[in-house]
Amino acid sequence: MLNRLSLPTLALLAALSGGCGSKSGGAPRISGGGATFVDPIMQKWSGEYKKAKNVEIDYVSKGSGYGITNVTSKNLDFGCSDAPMNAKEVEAAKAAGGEVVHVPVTVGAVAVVYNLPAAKNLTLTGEVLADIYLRKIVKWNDPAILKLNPAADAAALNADITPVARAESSGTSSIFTEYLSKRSPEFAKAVGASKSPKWPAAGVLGKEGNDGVAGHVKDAAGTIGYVELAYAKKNNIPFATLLNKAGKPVTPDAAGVTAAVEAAMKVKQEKEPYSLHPLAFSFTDADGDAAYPIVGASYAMLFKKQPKEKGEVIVAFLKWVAGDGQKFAAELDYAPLPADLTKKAEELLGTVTFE
Amino acid sequence: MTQPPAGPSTVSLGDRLFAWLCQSSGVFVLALAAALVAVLALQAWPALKHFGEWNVLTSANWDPENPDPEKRSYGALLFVYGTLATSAIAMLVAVPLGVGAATYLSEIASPRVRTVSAFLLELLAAIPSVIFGFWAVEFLAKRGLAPAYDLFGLKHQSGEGIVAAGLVLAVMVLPYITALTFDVCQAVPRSQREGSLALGATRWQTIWNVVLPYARPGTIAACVLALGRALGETMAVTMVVGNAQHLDFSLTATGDSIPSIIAKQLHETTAGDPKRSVLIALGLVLLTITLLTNLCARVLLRWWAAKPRTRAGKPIHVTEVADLPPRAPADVAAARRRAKRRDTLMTGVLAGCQFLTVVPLFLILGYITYKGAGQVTGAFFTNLPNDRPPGLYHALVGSATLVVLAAAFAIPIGITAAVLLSEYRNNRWVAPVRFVAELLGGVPSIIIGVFAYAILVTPFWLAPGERPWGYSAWAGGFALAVMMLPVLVRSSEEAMRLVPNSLREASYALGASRRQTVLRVVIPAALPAIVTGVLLAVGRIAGETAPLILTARGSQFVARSLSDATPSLPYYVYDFAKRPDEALKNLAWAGAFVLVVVVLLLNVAVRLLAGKRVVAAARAD
Repeated sequence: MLNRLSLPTLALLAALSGGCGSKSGGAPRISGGGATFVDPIMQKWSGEYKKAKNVEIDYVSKGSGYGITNVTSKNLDFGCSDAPMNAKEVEAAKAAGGEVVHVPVTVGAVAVVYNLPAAKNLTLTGEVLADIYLRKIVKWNDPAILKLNPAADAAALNADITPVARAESSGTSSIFTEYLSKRSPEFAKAVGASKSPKWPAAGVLGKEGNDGVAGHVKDAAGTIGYVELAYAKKNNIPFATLLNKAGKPVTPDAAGVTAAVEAAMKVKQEKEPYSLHPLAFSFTDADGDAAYPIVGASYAMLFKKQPKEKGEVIVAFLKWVAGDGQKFAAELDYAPLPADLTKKAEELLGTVTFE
Repeated sequence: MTQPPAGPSTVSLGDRLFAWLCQSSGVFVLALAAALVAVLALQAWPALKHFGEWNVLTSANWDPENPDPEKRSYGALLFVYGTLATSAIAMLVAVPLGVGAATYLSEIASPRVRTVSAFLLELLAAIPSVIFGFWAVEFLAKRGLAPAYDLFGLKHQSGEGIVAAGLVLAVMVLPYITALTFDVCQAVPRSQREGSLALGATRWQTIWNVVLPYARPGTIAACVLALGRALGETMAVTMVVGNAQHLDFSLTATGDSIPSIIAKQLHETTAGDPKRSVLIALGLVLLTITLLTNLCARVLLRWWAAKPRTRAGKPIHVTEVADLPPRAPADVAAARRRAKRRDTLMTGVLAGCQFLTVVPLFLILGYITYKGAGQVTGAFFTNLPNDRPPGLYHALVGSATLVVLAAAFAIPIGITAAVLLSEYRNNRWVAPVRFVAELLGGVPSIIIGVFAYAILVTPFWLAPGERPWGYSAWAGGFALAVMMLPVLVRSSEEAMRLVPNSLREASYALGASRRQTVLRVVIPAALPAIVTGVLLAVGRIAGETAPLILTARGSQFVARSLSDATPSLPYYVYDFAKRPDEALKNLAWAGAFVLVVVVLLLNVAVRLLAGKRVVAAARAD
């Protein structure tokens, strides 16, 4: 330990002597970043890929909006977002470096987490969630919630609801608001599907990242939030059962995600932003008895034209992610990509050109 | 200072080069400040052009990313309000406490209490802002305000909001108000107090009627300086203010501030995005406000220093007084007793103020130690965040890299600029350099981050593929260097001024040139004090977070070159503080503890060296 302590000076000397341009030898390093949705599995992939191929994937989770804009400004080698680029963002990217391909890397459930010691196994619906985020339902003992949870103790639920949302541009927010917009016309009109939703009333707390929302809901009583399932499961944060489009109660899990993905992939994607990209799908509020209603994919984004050496390393990594990498999905509470999507993702990656 | 004798001999090339070097450093400081304002103005230009049309300062509807382009809106009143409201609460709390504490220390406290308190206040001032934020969100909001609000049946969002942010800002500016007001009180001439006491006034009457009125302009200046700091604070506010989207004037409301929204959202914009120009325009607004407060404070201080040291009161005609019938002895005794009682009471109140200013220090240090000390393990120093068990080795290396890089950049420029100010006083650049360096010291750190981001991370004159660095140690080190510079210039100049003039005279008498005198006599004599200043500046930047979010960012690995994104300890304290994952959150606690220990040790080192400085100066004489 002691000789590692003196490393800062050594590292600095090495860095200074290395100069600015030349990346000294060792493992190639790819800089990725963006969505926090995909972060838990991405860090796992990073570790496994380093072991398998000696390539360092430096993924920094800062939100999907960050992923999109920093791919565009070429501050990242690849970015991740759970909301595909919209028309405006596609245009901006075109101007900066041409076409951007969107490769699905994982699918997962957005769990509705809450902190309410008085109630376990809460059941909610999209309509009720919409009203909570519209601030029309402000108490946990609201009749609409009690009706869905007849077994709950009404007196114990007499507490204020603090909805927690994201403070930065987020693909998870986009998935969540897309779902609420599908379930509640009022929500669709007032907010709509957006990475940076403008909540119509005061009282929604903003936190950075899936981690920030999960961290806050875990600690603060009365809160409710939306995070990728891995954040809820790994940290033992209670999450709600939701009634899906078929009216069946479902809890978020890999099976529910897979059911939703299979149902949604049958639907032709006609709405922006999904229509702009060959492998982008809206997975929310899918048909089927087993489908969990708030499901999304995370897409890796990279310019179709890549620099020779680095580009090949990135494409090889993403091919590995879409194929072999999927075996880590289950242990981290994501769902593996359907075989069909894996194949298409690999084909899409084959279209990337190097120069 | 003494000038070298003007002789027929021509000035040597080395001397001219040295003079030119010092002048260039001074001009560089000016150019840096000019570039900062110019870059910000240029980047903000699209928004400034449409300032009225977009209702930037008149609407609170911030919705720049609305999927419907018709509905996009850039009203930023919410952030302006949040900035002002949090600072107002901070001043409301900190001014009475700080002034009370300062008068107690100056007028009542024993020398021992004074020394100890001054030391504690210095420690409080040295704690990095990210630590204040972490403490505020975990302790002040969740364990302090939330239960308090519940007690009164108030609706709240986990205790977070404008009040929580205002309170933590109050704690942060308290040491400044107290220290500056203390200096001002100390400068009140002894004769003023003696006159008052001789007339039979109690100590409280002397403080209230003589000391405080005399010190008023200086006290106001101290408060205005503190206000400037509160307005520009990023980390402590962003972590606890609640990041709300709506104007809400209730007591427990959440909000957001200008530095906070810039830190969270500037790096998710692209060039040409109106949102980017609006955010930078907000930065420009913040810069203007803080510069104005700073200017006000300086003007006030100068005026106070220059004003005649007497206070005109209402004239009293002796004949009128003599005509009054004498008061009954019983009345006089009663009045005296009342005055005495009030004196005891107010002494207690002032002591209470002093006590309250040091309580937060112990709360913060206690809580950070309680949570963090046990988490500092071997793995913390040797592992990476994805290892099991996780560690922050990469952030320690990164922080060291950033600090050394910043110092390598700032120390030569800072010291040579200080030589210009101290040794070349006839130079025409001296007055502007000193003035601008002082103002630069008051620029909020997030603004310096925006500047470094705009010219190094996303240089706007280069196409995306052609930018050499991106998020890098270069950008982070540069931002930290800009923060270090004013502290260095000022402390080094003062250090050189402490060197007695006789030494320079002796040097010149022996035929040394100015360069030789500065390099062989002045700088060696001032060295301990200069090192003290360097340590102070390092302490200031070692815990700095806000500019690094936009420049060095973070990374999962040890940076391999200075053009890699470079993790740093404060950045990871901020990032991991919000995590639900116990192991990572404990890393944040451990990181906070280590950061506090390092910064406080630096401060203690400064104290020890400052003690030495006195000795060195005495020996030099």
